[in-house]
Amino acid sequence: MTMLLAHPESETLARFVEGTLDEPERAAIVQHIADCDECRIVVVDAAELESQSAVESHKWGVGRWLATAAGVVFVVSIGSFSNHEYRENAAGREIHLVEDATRFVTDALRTSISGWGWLFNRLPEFSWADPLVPVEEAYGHVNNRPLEARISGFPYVRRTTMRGSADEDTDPAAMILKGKASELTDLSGSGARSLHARGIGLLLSDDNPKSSMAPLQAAAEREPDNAKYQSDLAAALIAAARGDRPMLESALAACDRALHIDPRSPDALFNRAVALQALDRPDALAAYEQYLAVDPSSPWAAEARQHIEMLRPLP
Amino acid sequence: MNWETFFLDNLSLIERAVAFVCRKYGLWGADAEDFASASKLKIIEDNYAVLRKFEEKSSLATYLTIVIDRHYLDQKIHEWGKWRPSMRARQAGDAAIFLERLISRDGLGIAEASTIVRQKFTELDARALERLAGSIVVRQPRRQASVERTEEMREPASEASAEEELLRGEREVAARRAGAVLSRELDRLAPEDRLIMKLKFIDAMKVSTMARMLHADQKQLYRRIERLVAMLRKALLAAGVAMSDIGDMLTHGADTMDIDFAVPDAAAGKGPP
Repeated sequence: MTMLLAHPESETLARFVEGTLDEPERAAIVQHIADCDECRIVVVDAAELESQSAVESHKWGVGRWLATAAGVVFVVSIGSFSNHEYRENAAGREIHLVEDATRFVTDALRTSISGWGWLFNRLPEFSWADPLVPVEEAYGHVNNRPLEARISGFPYVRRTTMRGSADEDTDPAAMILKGKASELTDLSGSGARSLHARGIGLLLSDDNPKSSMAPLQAAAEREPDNAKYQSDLAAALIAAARGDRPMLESALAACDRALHIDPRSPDALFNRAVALQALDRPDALAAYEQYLAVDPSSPWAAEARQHIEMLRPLP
Repeated sequence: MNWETFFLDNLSLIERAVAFVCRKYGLWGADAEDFASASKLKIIEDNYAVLRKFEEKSSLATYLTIVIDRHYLDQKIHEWGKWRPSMRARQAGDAAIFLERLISRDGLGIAEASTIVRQKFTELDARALERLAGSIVVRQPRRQASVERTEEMREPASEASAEEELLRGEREVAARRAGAVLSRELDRLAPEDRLIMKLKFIDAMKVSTMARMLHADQKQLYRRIERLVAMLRKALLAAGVAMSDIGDMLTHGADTMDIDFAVPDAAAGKGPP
């Protein structure tokens, strides 16, 4: 391997971005761009555009798939109806128009449903499955809960040490969680569900929780009546705040919006108490007690009681 | 091959790459149009040398993006001198890069630098400039100002209280110290590890993209990053850097520190088109 003295050719950098260089060439580029900021910057930018193009081309590919599948389903549906009409005629029966129209619709629907079912099973993009499920499962295996607040639908994990401790660097489950969560950040789509999943992905994979706030905020704005989105936005704000009071106030406001929609949301009640505690507000104790009124027995409740013990004034 | 036809056939690709670079560096309106014209000229000059050099070993789109991006950086180096803008400044656009250069490289105060930026970017109002200054990372200057100071550019009285100034000073000292240790530790890493850390913490590159470029398994790369972070954290703690400063560096990116990532002389040869 030789150290490149001059900047590499643009096409060589392009091949590096696309991952098509052979090993000695790749190693030479790595050595060069490890210390050459200009080349590193253009490589990073080109990689970003390449990823965007890959997403667009994937969307286009899926679109074509969808259009073809719709055409197939339609043709099969019509074929089903024609066959039905032929059989009725062959039997020498009188064709009743209304009955036939009803049968046409029934047959077409039945064929369509089975066709779409087949399609959904083969295209994960159109699966009804929640993209958060693998992340929720991975979250359940970490040694130490990465966030103080609750994420809706995520399992309880005990929080023993603060973020940045050695645990985070040595727990393989935490690394797996980051890997799974990072897959969510590649989700495309501007619907509330996609935005929310992307935000959760960033919250759990990116070391800077602030990066998750834009998609989570957008999801909450898309579906302002969804308590879960408001509560998860609050969780991200609490994680990003690090003592920043305006951010904690925003988290509190998001919890209040969630509770306005669903007054018994355990996630929002817990996160509200966490935000108040972070703000050093005396009503944090009452907030944990409000939480216990809704959830008196889960592991979250045990944690709420611990907080109450800590917050209770000494006699 | 008729290179003019090839150019015209791929004009939309060229324009897409130009638009991407403009978006990346916050070029709009007349600035974006000027840059688009200059980029096309760059491709056409010397009988389409840029296109003639293309050997079809990569996709044309990636190749053109690199050529055009490099053209932008060359323009800025020519215009402003050698300067590596931080990722945040790059994201905030030309005015932010200019402001950061004046503060961090030339050593001007925020108010003084803002005055100069406003003279160049007349569309910016005071509030927009304040936001810009807040968004960029202010690093310590490495050398003294070379800009001639005029009467209008004189530093106005600071509105910050003495206490705020003191705190800011303390933070800067801590950041400089932590940055120097981090810089030293990064230099000790193998080139690939150093690159991985820069891609992750300076450029905020996705690990999936990094894995493809480095021919690495994504999960293993995660582990490697975690291991490198743990190693750096240990070295920083051993050097007496406070945990809070390490948190800033490793969670907000090394951009927040005064790290000398200057281009070594050996690598600063003349670049390709």
